[in-house]
Parts: sequence; C-alpha cells; structure tokens
Amino acid sequence: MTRTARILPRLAPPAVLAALAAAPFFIGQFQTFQLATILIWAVAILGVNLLTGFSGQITLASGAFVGIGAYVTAVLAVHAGVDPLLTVVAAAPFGFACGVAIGIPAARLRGIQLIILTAVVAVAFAPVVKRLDHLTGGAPGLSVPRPEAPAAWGVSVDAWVLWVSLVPAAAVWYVATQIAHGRIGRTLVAVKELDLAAPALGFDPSRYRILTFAISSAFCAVAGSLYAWSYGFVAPDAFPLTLSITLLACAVIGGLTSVWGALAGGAVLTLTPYFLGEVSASLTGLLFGVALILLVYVMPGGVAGVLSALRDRLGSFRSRGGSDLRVRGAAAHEGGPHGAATVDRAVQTGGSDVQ
Amino acid sequence: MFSKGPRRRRGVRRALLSATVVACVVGAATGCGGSVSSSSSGGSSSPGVTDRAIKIGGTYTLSGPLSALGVFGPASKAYFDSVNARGGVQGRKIDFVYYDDAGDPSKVLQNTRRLVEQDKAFGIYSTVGNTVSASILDYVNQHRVPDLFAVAGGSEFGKQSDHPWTEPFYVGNATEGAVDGQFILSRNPNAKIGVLATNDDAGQSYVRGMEGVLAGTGAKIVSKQTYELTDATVDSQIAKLRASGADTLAVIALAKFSSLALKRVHELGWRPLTLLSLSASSRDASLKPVGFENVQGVYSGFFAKDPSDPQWANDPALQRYRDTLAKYGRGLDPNDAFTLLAYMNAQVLVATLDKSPALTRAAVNDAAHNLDLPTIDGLLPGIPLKTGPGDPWPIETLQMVQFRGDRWVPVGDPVSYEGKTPR
Repeated sequence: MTRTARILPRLAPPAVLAALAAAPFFIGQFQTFQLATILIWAVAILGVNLLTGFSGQITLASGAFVGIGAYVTAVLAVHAGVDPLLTVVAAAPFGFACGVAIGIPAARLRGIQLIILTAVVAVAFAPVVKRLDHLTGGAPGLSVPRPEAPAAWGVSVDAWVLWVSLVPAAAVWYVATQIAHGRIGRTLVAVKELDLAAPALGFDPSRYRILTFAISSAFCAVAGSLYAWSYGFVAPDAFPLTLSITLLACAVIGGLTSVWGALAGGAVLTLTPYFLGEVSASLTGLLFGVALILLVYVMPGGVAGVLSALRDRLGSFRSRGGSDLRVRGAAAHEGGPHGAATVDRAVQTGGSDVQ
Repeated sequence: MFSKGPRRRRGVRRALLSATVVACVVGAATGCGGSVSSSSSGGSSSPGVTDRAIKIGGTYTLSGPLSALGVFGPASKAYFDSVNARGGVQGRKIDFVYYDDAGDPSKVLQNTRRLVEQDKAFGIYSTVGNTVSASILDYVNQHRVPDLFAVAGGSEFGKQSDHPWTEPFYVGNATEGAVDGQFILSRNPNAKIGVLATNDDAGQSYVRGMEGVLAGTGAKIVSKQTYELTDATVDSQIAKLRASGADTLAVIALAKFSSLALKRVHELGWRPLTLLSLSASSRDASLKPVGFENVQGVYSGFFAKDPSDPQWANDPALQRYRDTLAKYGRGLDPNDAFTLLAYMNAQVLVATLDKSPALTRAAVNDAAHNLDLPTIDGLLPGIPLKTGPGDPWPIETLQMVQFRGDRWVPVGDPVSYEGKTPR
C-alpha cells in the first residue's frame, strides 16, 4: 500500500498521457477530434483554475484569451506562413503580455468590479477582431492550415493534431502543478485568504495577482492555439462571453484547485452538449444550463472534490485512519503561510489538491 | 515540507483521480476502429442512403440570442414529414437529423463533423446565416459533402470555384445592394445614402453591390455604420447617419435591429427615403413593433411572399404551406417569414433530390447547381429560381415593394440580375 501510494502519483501523469496518445488507435476520427477538444478546454480551464481557484480572482475574459491565442496562430500561419505548430511558441507569451496589460488594472479590483472589467474584455473581443479585418479576416473568420504529419507516415490529421496538442498541454500541466504545489501556489492562497495580512508577511499581493492573471491568460492562449489546430478555422463569434462563463462553470465542476479536475471540466464542457443532443436538439442549450447548475449544486467541490471524498471514505474503512482534519491542519501549517481559513475551506469542500 | 500522511493520501487520491479520468476519457470514446491511418477517410460515394431512407443533417441556432433563426430546423422537418407521408423522395424517406449550435461557429463545425462522420449523413442542409455557414465551408468542401442551400447572401457563397460543394439558397446581398442602388437612383439621382449594416460579409457585400451601381452617378454612400448582435440599441448609429447629412437610409439587419433602427428614426422625426433588406422587412417581426403608422412608405426588395401579409390570406400556395404546418409543424408560427423561407428551402432540397439522376453525393451536388424551379410555394410571381454552371445564386431577381397601410405593395416590375449577381 505504502509503496503503491508513493509510485502511483508519479505514474499517473505519464499513464494519462500514454492513454490519450494511444486513444486514436482505438477510436474513430470524430472521437479523436472530441478528445482533442477536451484537451483544449482542459488547458483553458487550468488557466481559470489558477486564477479563480488559487488567486481567488473571478474572470470572464478567459474565452477572449483563448480567442487571442487562436488568432495569434491563425494570423501567423495565414499571413506570415509560419508552421501552425510553431505559433504556440508565440501565442503563450502574447497571451502573457495581454494578461499583464489587463492584469494591472485587474489587480486593483475585487469582486464585482473585476467581473465587470473582464466581461468588458470578453464583449469587446468580437467587435475588435472584426474591425481588424485586414488581419483577422473579419466576421467570416480565417481558415487555418491544420498541422499535418509528413505524408509518408500516413497519419490522419485528427490523430496527428491530438498528438501534437499533447505536448503544449503537458507543458501547461507541468507549469500548473509546479505553481500549485510550489511556493507561488502557497503564496497565492495566502494572498487570497489573507489579503490584508499578506503585505505584513512580505508579499506584494498585487504583483502576485498580475503574475497570476498573466500566466492564466498565457494558458488560455495556448488553448487557443490548440483550438486553431483542431478546428482549422477561427471566427470572432466562436469566443463569446458565454464561453468564458461556461469555462468558469466547468472549472468549478471539475474542482477549482485540482489540476486533474481541469481534464474532467473539459470533458463536461465537450461531452455534455454532445449527449444532450441525443436527448433533444431544441432543448440542448437549456438542458446544458440546468446540468451545469445541478452539477455545481450536488458537487460543490467539483469532480475532484467528490473523488477525494470517495477516497477518504474508502480509506477510512481500510486504514486505522487518524483524523483527516488534524493531518491536514498540520500539513497546512508546515507548508507555509496557509491560514486557518484554507484548512477550513479544504475541509468544507471535501479537500482540494493543494495542501 | 509535507508530512508523510498527506503525501500518501495525496498519492492515492491522485492515482484514483487519474485512473477515473482515463476511464472517463476511454469510456467517452465509444467508437470502434482506429483513426490513425489517414486512408480511413473516403469510402462510399453515397453514405447516408439506403433503399429506404436518405439521411440529411442540419445544425441550427436553437438557443442563444439568435434563436429566432432556429425555426429553420423544425420548419424544414415539417415539410420533410409531409413528403415522407406521401412516400418520400425517390422511394426513400428523408431522415432529417439536426443539433443545436447556439450560433457558435465551433459548435457548428462540431455538429457538422458529427453529422458527417458519426451519423453518416448524406449531406448538410440549410445552415443559416453568413457566420454559421462560413464556418463549415472548408470542411464540407475538403470532404466533398454536399452543403446544400445555405441561407447566406454574402459574396463568399457565390464563389463556386472555391466552394464547389456549397450551394446557397438566398438572394446575394450584393444583388440586394445593386437593386436598392438602382431604385434609389430612380428616385433621387443625387441621393446621399446612409447605410446601417451588420458587421459581416452580408453587410459588406450589400455595400459593394450598391457602390457598383452608384459609381459614376451623382448619388453616393455618405456614411456606413455597423452594429453588433450584442448591441442593446442602434441609437448612436442612427444619430451618426443622420448627422452625416444622409437623405436616404438603407438598413441591412435582422428583424430586432431593424425595429430598433426604425423606431429611433421615427423618434428623431427624421424622414429619409428608407430601404430595408429582406431580413429586415418582416411585417410582423420588424414593422409591427414600431407601429405601422410610423413606417409608412418604407421600401424593400422581396423574392418571397410575406406570410403575415393579409393579401396572401387566400393564396393557394400559402394555403398549402399553412395546411402542412398545421398537420406536421405543431407550435410553429406560419406568419414568421423565416418559417416560410425554411419551408421553401425544404421544397428546393426535395426537388433537387427528386431530379437527381442518382442519389450519390456528386450527382445531387450537380443537380443543386443546375436548378430551374419556378413552382416553389412561397415564391413571388415573376421571380425565377435558377442555378447554372458558374452561377450558384438561385435567386437574382427582386420585386421592389412599399409598405402602405398594413401591407407590402409591389412597386414596378421585378428587377432582374439573372446571371449577374455582383461579385
């Protein structure tokens, strides 16, 4: 048990990666495309998680940042003839820079004001893209060449796109876990929970907020590049305010502070409307909304919260157990500047992935 | 940094989580057979056709701010059901499958791939709107899937050499612009025209069509204003158009925005010569909210009858339309111009399938590009419906109409741009 417990977490990421990479051998083209779509939204949700789950800032601009990344890829590939695969290298820093630009005013805002600022960014996205039509192709959008494997390999475009998408997705995942489990993550939680006390402990909260906003935006922009690869088409109306709202809802459903929850959130976003389409075409939109509300209602801690609660229950049958709360509390205090608030919250929501 | 307890727990939890995620992902992917080999695409030239049925796919904006356009799905289905009740087409029932895209181009493309790859639809029928229709152009044309009768008038849809598998069912917005331009010149050779248009291919094509006609005359477009679907009003656009000194106003908009524009024009006491695009001119949806007395004398160019207009109350063609809706389209509003347009579109598809020498994708696509159908219920008298090689626009003739009293009244003869839709 102990050894397995130590090895499993190290094995989990490569195992998931391997499963995703192997999937096209077993599933059809459309499912491969769906899998790539799940990956796109999982990457974007990682960005939302970082901002909302760790830093406590609520953003409605995530969809716009996905759009920004998608357009960086599209414009570079179409107008400059850059290989679409390489464009992700430009999309991430471009998203980061835009994130800094918006993050500076955003860092001064809280709650409703921040939501309004980011909503303005989301609403302004489509009109701005349409105005820059010589660059962006305007309202009808731009066709983007999809990445293709060397012809001799005989690999289908969808399988290839999924495989190449795994690389930036894994990179984002790695950065996210490093932040979540490292100094920055702990500092962010401290800044979130102890806003006023943080400066006394030697942090400048607004600097951390801007940094988080920028990294989160960069994640979303990477998702945008993956979007352009998968869809081969970008249009301003593909990144509306509702996309940001849905991303936020799916981030909550996955588990706001769980890196794995992002993958679950991406799956919910992609597959729920798909299955609801079978139920009723005319009610898909309505049922999706209801499903999101129900999911948030029955799983306030998200999929990650439910799974860790299940694990706790299983664990308490098997082990001699000590009090979970005590152990967590100890870990939190050892781990650095977590306050009691974090521990309380972790207990309330059925545990988060970051102590 | 961490005590052993939580780390072990975290390890187990992470392993559990990842195992679950893998299981979910693998479970979600229910298809069989790999998709790695690029040669797996292609296959039969007529998927979706059996001895008993032909499967047609659609994607519609059934939710979201543009859900008024979603009526194309159920209204088309009503007509297909009536055809199926009479024995179908070429001895086959039409199996019409459609999904909601909420007006989101990503979902439009997802739905289209699902219909073609998963549901094995024969073709995609009647995407609605320029943005929605543009988002699948590449996909359907790369995969040689008939993309029949997109309700879109932007110039992009007239480029048959670029999109040989796409066939629009609408009048080109450029034709609308040209016909309106011609009409304006006949009324006022020195007109100063203000244009309020959607910020998309439709609006731009309209302006290009009109500018082509105005070139070298005394009339010109003095101001162009655009709106976004997210705009709450168009008050500022109307104010700018008025301030530009325009004496003529052209509105290329969806019903709600044309109402907002006309209302504002009336409130300001502005009396320009006003022309409404087809999409902006529904009697019930666009004009009624403003009040008929406030929109007297506005013009439009029509190719279809306005089903809400009392002058067609006893028209046999519209009677058949109302009967079909009563029987197969419960809950649909027969007075909605979009419902009639969908009904007409469905007739065109059925006629195309019926005339196609074989039910293969290539043959049906070919038939769609060589149409001559004067007898579509809902079409105004004197408007041909024709396509031919290099000329994918089925409707290139418009009847100018003026709103008088409570109805649209024809003005002059139909204006024909047959084979001459401006590019």
